[in-house]
Order: sequence, then C-alpha cells, then structure tokens
Amino acid sequence: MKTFFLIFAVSFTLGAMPAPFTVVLDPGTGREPALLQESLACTELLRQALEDTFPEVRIVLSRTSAIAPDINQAASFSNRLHADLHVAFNFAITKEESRYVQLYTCGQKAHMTPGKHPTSNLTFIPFGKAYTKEINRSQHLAHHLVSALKATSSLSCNEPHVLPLKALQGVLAPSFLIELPLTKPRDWRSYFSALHEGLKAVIQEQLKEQE
Amino acid sequence: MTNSKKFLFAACLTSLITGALFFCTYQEWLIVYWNRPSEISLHAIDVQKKHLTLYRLTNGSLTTESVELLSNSEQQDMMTHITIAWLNWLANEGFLDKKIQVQSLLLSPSGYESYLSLNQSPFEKTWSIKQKEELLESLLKTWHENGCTASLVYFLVDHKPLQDAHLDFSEGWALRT
Repeated sequence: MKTFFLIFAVSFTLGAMPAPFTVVLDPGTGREPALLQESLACTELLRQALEDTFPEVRIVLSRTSAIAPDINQAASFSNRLHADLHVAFNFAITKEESRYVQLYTCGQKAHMTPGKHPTSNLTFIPFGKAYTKEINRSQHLAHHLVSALKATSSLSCNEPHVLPLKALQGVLAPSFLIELPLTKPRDWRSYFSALHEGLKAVIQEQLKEQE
Repeated sequence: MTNSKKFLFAACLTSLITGALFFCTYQEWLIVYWNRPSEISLHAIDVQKKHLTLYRLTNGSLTTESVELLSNSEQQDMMTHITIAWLNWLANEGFLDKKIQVQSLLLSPSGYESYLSLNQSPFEKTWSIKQKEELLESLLKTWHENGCTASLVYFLVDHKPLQDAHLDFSEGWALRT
C-alpha cells in the first residue's frame, strides 16, 4: 500500500511539473535528395548551437533522416510535443546570386486580418486551421526575427509575408517558415551564423512571453 | 351530298391535316420558330480597343509591358483576355517554360469571386515559395490595375483546386489593393 502511494505521489509530482520549453525545427520536405540532406544538416547544426545557448530548452527536429515525410507529419509531431515554437525551413535552388531570407507566416490571402481566436483549450479547431490559434504571436515572432536578422547580419530580409502554407496549417504553436535561396545545396553555410543569432533572439522573446 | 356530310368531311380533313402537322413537328421533320425575330433579344456587341499594362514581379522588382487588346465591356471576357495576354507575354519573355492555357474564367453572380481554370500548374517543381508568390501576385496586380472588380480568385487546374507542394489553393486569393 505504501509503495503504491509512493508511486502515485511521484507520478503526480512528475505530471504536475511544467513541460520543458520546446522548439521544433522542421527541415522541410523537398524533391531533391541533396536538398533534403543539406536541410537536415543545417537544422541539426542549428539544434546543437541553440542547445548550447539554451541548455534548459528542448530543441527537436521533426525528421532525422533524409527521407521526405508527409507534409502534415511535422505539424502532428509538433502538436504532440506541445511545442512552444515551430520553425520550418524551405531550401530552394535558384539561378540568381542574390542572398536574401524570406519569412512567411500562415494565413489565408482572402482574409489577411485574423478573426476570432479560440479562447478555450476545449474549442475544436480543424487541422487545417490550427495555425489560427497563435496567428498573432506567429506574426510578432516573424517580425522579431526580421529585426534581429537586420540588426546582426548584412542579409537582405523583407517583412514576413502571409501565405496559406501547407507546412504550417496544422501547427498549434506559434510558427513561421524561413526560405533560403541557394545556388548550390551547401550554400546554407553562409546563412548559418545569421540564422543562429536570429533564432536566439526569437527564442529569448518567446521565453520572455512565457515567464 | 347533304350539308351534314359536307361538314363531317371538312372536319375529318381539317383533323387529318392538323394531326399530320403536329406529328411532323413532334418528329422534328418540321421545325417551327415560335418566336418572331423581333422578340429575340439582341445584345449590342460593345467591342473596344483597350490599352492594358501587364505586370511581372521578379525578386521584388516590377517589369511592365503595354499591350492593346480588343475586348468587350463584359468583366468576365475582359479578365479572360487579360489573362491570355499576360500568359502569352510571360511565355514570349521566357518566364514560363510551359504552355499554359486558360480553360475557363468565370465570375460569380455577385462579381466578387472569380474562378480561373488552367490546363496545368503554372509553377515549376523546383520553384521557391517566393517565385510562386511573385507569379500569382503579378497576375492579381495585372487584373487589379486594369480595372477588374473581382476581389477574390480561386486558382484551378482542370476545374479542380490547384495542387502544390507548398501552397494551399482550396480557398480564394484576394486581389491586393
């Protein structure tokens, strides 16, 4: 009886402990195997660098192999982990030499201003509309990342655009997508330090909000 | 022949001719135009030469092209002609490698929503999200700047929502104002 009570008490205490602050990095999907491999390498390096900076934060990759998963898999994974921030990447090969970072948040082009948001956790949200839960926070964090990138790097970075992105539609956490144009798959290395600094600023901002 | 027999003969003959006429009409051997030409409503065809500006957004910079088109004042026809002219211009300039054709362009009765159906996706598989967005924004800007009043557009391929790896086209896109 005492053992049973002890196990119950420990389980209850563990259950009541707050979940660690979780950031999900989604390396994205793609058709080219080289890009899948390089996007994974980039996010893995970012994960290590961010874990060194924030030891108390749990940084998770939505995929750990170079096999392209289903487009909704990363969102489902992020929701199951109750992520506090979801960052998706899209690497694109372009012919132009211009170096820029383009940020996107999820939204419908038909109604650019968000409508009413669910106020209760019991409110049913369809998978395709999950992004609406934190739409304002997503936009705020994306703007914050743009400011951080402009302050810490010489990269060209436009204000975030709102698009109906399949990769983010099902994500409940604040989320945004970073698109990097590359002339060669390995070119992401030139963006790495800027991305690291930018994401550091965003995680700090989100941690401040949660306190 | 008595009068009653004459009347009976005339009635039979009239019935036979009327029946034969109805039978021929029913079998469509005889086609009868019930409406007189004056009752057919004829729309005045208002074809005018229009000066249009086509837009193409590339890496944030805008390229324009002026064209002249013959089009009537119907919004639907005008949007179709503008779209065809815009696609032809992009193909001629080498922006699009594929031959994209407009299958149909329809407006809702309110004129608020439009449905554009193409024969194939205008995007290449390797395109970035930015390239896709710029292409669509170019078309929306071209429509908007040339006086199209529709404010929401649904992009279709073969009359079904356009399927894309990055973007969701199940809902309409607003013309940027």
